[in-house]
Amino acid sequence: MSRAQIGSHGSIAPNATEKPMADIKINAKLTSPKGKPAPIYRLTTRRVNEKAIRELANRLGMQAEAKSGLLRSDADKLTFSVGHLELTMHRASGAVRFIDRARWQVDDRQSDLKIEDAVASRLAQTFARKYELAPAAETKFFKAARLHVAEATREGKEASDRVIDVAVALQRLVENIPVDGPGGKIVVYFNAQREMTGFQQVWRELDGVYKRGQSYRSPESAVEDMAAHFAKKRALIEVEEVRFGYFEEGPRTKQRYLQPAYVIIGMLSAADGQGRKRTIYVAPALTNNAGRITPPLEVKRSQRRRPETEAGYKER
Amino acid sequence: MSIHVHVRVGVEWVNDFHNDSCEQNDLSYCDDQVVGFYNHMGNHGHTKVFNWGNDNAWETDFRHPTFGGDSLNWSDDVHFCMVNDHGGNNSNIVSFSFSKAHTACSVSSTKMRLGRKNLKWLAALGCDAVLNTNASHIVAVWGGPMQGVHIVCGYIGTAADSWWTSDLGEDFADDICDGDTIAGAWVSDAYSFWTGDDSIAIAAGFSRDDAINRRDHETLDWRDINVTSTNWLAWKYRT
Repeated sequence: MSRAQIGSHGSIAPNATEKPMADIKINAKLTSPKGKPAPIYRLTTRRVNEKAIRELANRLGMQAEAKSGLLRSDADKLTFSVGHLELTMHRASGAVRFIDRARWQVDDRQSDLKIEDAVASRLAQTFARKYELAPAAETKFFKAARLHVAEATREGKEASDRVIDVAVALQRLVENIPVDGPGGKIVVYFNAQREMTGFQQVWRELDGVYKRGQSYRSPESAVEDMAAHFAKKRALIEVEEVRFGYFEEGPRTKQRYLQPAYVIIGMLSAADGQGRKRTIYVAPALTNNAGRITPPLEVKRSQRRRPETEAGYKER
Repeated sequence: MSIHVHVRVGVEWVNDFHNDSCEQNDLSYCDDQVVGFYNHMGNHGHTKVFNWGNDNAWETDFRHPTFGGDSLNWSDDVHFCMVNDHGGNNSNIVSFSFSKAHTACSVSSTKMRLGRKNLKWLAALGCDAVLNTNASHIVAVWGGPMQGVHIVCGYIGTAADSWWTSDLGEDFADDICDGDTIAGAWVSDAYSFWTGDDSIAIAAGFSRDDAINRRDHETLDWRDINVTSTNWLAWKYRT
């Protein structure tokens, strides 16, 4: 059993005989997933090389024949650009980012994009289908986030606020289960003229079932994992939400398996409300899982004590 | 596009608090974000001036000498300062919390005079740089403290202390060193669909056009193009 103790009022409280540790208070309703346990999938990373990026660039309408454009390569990514169009592929994940630098997030100082979420979602779905980014049945609308520009005098006069683009996130579905995390999404950007100005896709390909799901752990046990993770921290973490889904990492991370997970959103609040931060912990949801998801906290070397001087940089 | 000037960089962060008058909930990833920024700025040839963490991070580094602080030797003696700890915002006053009372446990924005000496850009990664996007609130919070600083970057409401956003500082440093605009790179990198972080960047200017120009176009190369007077603020945010 972890060092955390289940308290009497929906909390996981520190054991009084041990040194202070994270105190977990559960403010959310914890619900176990229903139905047959979902399987764990093996993932493959799409090849990232000149041929692959030129093929994709061609599909997106860029001038991508051999020797055209500019190809840049570093340890993390491969970037192909022609004029103001830029396409990047991440080596670790195969994630793709396309940007039209002449139009992405560019303000003409006049436009004000007024678009309903449903309309923005349809635009994004149409784009995803046109370029065969993902089958419609495997995506659902997640969120539309608008980029605003605003100004005012220092006294707050002559204030204005306009929307110059909308970013629409489509969430991946696997086995009809949403894919949570920094990956598992297509984000499409539209400007005030409702033209696509860029997109990002973090979407690793499935490579068959690695393991059938045996049974689900309880969300309470995932919260206990979080308590153990923060065992050396002095904190009150109020659990505000526990989501269930597959978990996909971001563009810069290699990932071998796609497994069901609990995503725990907590809040660290001071009593006076003056010090706040959210915290996120992700735990595997299956009893026969593919290993931990949130890496253990690193033990870091302390800094040398700072000298008590009035002097700044020049005298150190 | 590349950058043609060198900038001086300083960072402060707090993960571990004590069971004393400065007590706050411990954090875990503040150092990853800002030290990542610090090191990547250094990798791009910029000057690493200070990296103060936990008890070495002091509120006096942000408090102006008018109020007994030492900001002109620290946060305002670099061009780019990034700070990450607990933040708060009450009655249009932002505060940064520290683990050691040196000499107080926190510093409020009413005691900051950002940009009086060298500071051009401040990124405050604690929560609540602003609580909402009402113009009256934003100018009330930052109109006073911005006194020469070009751009302040932060969050609308709470921010995540999370493994999955620990690369933010590295990404942001790489983007602005590649020539991306400071406000644009911040709003793009710090916004997160899945963690729920909403980002904002606020630029100052002597006129409306000056503030807008800085919000939309300012890069590190604008280091020496001073804000002669903060008469206008122009900001961008995603939410």
